[in-house]
Amino acid sequence: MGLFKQFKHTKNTLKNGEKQEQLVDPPDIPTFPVSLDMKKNLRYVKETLHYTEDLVEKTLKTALPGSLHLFYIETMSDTEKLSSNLYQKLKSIDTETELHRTLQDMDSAKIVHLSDAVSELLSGKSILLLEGKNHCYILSTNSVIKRDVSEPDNEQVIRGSHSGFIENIGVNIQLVRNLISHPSLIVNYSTLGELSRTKTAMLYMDGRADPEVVEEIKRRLKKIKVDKLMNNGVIEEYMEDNIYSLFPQYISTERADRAALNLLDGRVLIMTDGDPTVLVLPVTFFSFFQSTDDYNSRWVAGNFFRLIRVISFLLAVTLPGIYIAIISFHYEIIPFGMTYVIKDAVEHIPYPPLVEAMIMELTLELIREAGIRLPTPIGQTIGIVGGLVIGDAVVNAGFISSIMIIVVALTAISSFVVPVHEMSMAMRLLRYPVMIMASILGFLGIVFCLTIYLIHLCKLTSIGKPFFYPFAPLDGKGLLNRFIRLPHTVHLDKKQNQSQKSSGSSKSQ
Amino acid sequence: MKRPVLLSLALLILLTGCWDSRQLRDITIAKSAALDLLEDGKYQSTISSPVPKQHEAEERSQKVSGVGHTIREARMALDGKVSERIDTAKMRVLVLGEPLARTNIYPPLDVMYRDPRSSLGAKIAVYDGMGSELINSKLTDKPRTSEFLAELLDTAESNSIVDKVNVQLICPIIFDPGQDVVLPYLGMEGDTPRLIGGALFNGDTMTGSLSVEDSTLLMLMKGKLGSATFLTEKVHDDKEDMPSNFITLRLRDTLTKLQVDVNHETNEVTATVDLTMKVEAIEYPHDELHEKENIAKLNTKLEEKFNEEAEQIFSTLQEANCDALGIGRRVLVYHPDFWDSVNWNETYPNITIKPNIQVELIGHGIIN
Repeated sequence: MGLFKQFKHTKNTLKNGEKQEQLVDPPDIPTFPVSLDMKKNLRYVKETLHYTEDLVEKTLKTALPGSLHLFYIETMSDTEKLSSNLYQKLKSIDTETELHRTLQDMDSAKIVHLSDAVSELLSGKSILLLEGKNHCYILSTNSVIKRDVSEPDNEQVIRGSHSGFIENIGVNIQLVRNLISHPSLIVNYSTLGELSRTKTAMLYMDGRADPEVVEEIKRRLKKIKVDKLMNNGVIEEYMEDNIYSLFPQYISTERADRAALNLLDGRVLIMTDGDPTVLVLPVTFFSFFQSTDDYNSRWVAGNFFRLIRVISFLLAVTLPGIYIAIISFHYEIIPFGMTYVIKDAVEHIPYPPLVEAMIMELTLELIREAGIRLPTPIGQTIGIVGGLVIGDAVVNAGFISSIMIIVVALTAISSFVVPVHEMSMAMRLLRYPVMIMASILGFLGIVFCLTIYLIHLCKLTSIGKPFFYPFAPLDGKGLLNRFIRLPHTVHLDKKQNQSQKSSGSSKSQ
Repeated sequence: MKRPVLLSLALLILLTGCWDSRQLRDITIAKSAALDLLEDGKYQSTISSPVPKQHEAEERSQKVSGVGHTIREARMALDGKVSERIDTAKMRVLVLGEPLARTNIYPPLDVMYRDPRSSLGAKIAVYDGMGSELINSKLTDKPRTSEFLAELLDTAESNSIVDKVNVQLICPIIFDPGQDVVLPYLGMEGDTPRLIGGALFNGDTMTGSLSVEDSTLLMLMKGKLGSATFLTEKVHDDKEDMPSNFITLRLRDTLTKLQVDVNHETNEVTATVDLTMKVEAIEYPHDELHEKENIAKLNTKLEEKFNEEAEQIFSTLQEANCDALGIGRRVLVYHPDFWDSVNWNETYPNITIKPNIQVELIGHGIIN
């Protein structure tokens, strides 16, 4: 991977005197203090928003002298709140104090610059202008669209909480706070994206998260310069230590309980408004093979299934390569009884095993990719067409050996075992180099490839923490904690938790 | 800098030839082979390889022979007769024709030991006749000949008729001056192959043979007990019907001890083979095994019989000059001076070997 050292990427290294160029100029709203001339104010608001047609302007009358002017964007605001809290009370307002009390009920804020108020208007608040006053009020009338906090489709568990994050950052933080009611849980907001102005939050537990990691994440968040931030994908790349690596260095999850458990382990969460997935950093290689199910089921079973997941990783990466190596270099190792069965199967395949495997793997990826986007009924059809028809026909036609179909099917199943989607994508990519090397050098090639992977894994870091932790700085206690799921009644001493804080500890998901 | 690195990497990956790949589909796998010595002194090598279903030949296996001055040359001649490359890595059985075994077996085996991919785990057996005859024999209603032979030898091992031998295991024994090898001896009965006992070797030359029963007893005296070993002995002469005169035993456990004494005065070597067998009667129509004295009687009767047979076996062994029990090895280790002063090959036929076989009947069946 030293090869990639040649590509300069300036993510974390700002050269002296070199300014990062701005992709987009900040929106051009010069400051505009609230004028005493109401006409100017009204025109200013409407011009700033380019006379957009969902801007509603209302003139309200009270017993007080001078009328009130109300602005709100009807698509963003909750008119229910306005009518119950403002319109119905207007009749009873006859003094300044009465007006202030009413506005306080509306959770109002006094603002001197109309230019600031306009940007608040865009997030669904309303502007209330009073004649003859050089300030205005903004009323919180935002309406929020929420869906149910239902279980995420791609991270289901048998037992455990069935709530998942949604597209609203406030609700997401609430879900986490419900699980961790502790004063040391800290939320840091920041706004990213020049055009989209997306709110992001960083959550961590003070005293559990490593301060260095927290600082580093803050630093990297500040560096992000994009004009639109619609989801976590952008943040991920800024957070990774090595973007050229095939291994993901973060976990993205939609499960609230998984996120909360990771927080308790001293990890940091990054949430983005409008995206139900949450980033968890820093992670280790084995975090990807843990599921909340391990901790909700009995510990022997939990261990067994965790082991199955790790084995599935090895299978998914090496199985096609091993098969290719065996039938083109080392068929001596096939047991007596199977030799002729396999020879029968591969006798009339018209091309080398590598090509055969590639065709099948790529076909499978096609079917998978097609199945994702399609509605369920058609998706099932695709599954049947792909699985049964292509699989069976291709063997009968003599293009692909039946053993190759078995190998590819096993590989595919193993690559879907891992609970985290990013890792399963990585596994699918990792097997192609192994296949190519196996077809060139047989087992030797597989060993080369796996050695390179291992070296890379040992070198990889996630926010400066070792990625291959219980193995790559070898730590016996860590192995007991991370690799094996001990019964909840067994407590290892807390010392190593302190030393290995946030590079993972016992109850990491 | 970037371009040359990438380019060289690409070249390294893409232009590395797959010259040494051996595609399974381009290879004829010899499942069993026979080596023979023809009358004109040339070697003949015969292989049998299964034919894939896809070729839909009537024969389920092809058998080819090649002749040459050396085994390698014979192999080359074979290669010329087969469309694909012949590979012996998955060979299960290697049959040596008796004419070849009677001269010497090491030179033809030399090929196997030099090729890193040859199947050293293949079973090896001597055939009473030309080995090609056995390979070419057509078996009706049985699996392919090669598999049949392999399983036949497997069963023989578990019945302790022959030692567990393969191409690798016999090599050190052939070169051991104080030990000789006994190989399975196959023959034909009608048109089906069967095991007819053990082939006795002196060094790398076959010099005699033993029957199946004798081979079993010899294996027991060597301390090799298979998982299902049976012996049948005639213990009475007075019963009216034939089976009642016999007892069939299943061996539960054996204990062997080989004691070799050298008298330095007279240069006489005496070897004593102690063998204690714990047996179970699995067929004995005469029964009456609940009485202790009957059991004791039977034990003595069996001991007499076995000792008699053992002496017979030893004389056969000495006639063939086959030191199957490894007596020479013990002489070499415990009496090196004596070993150096004699030629063991000449001494062995004249030494005294005494059997001492004890039989204990421990199981009586399930009736009582």
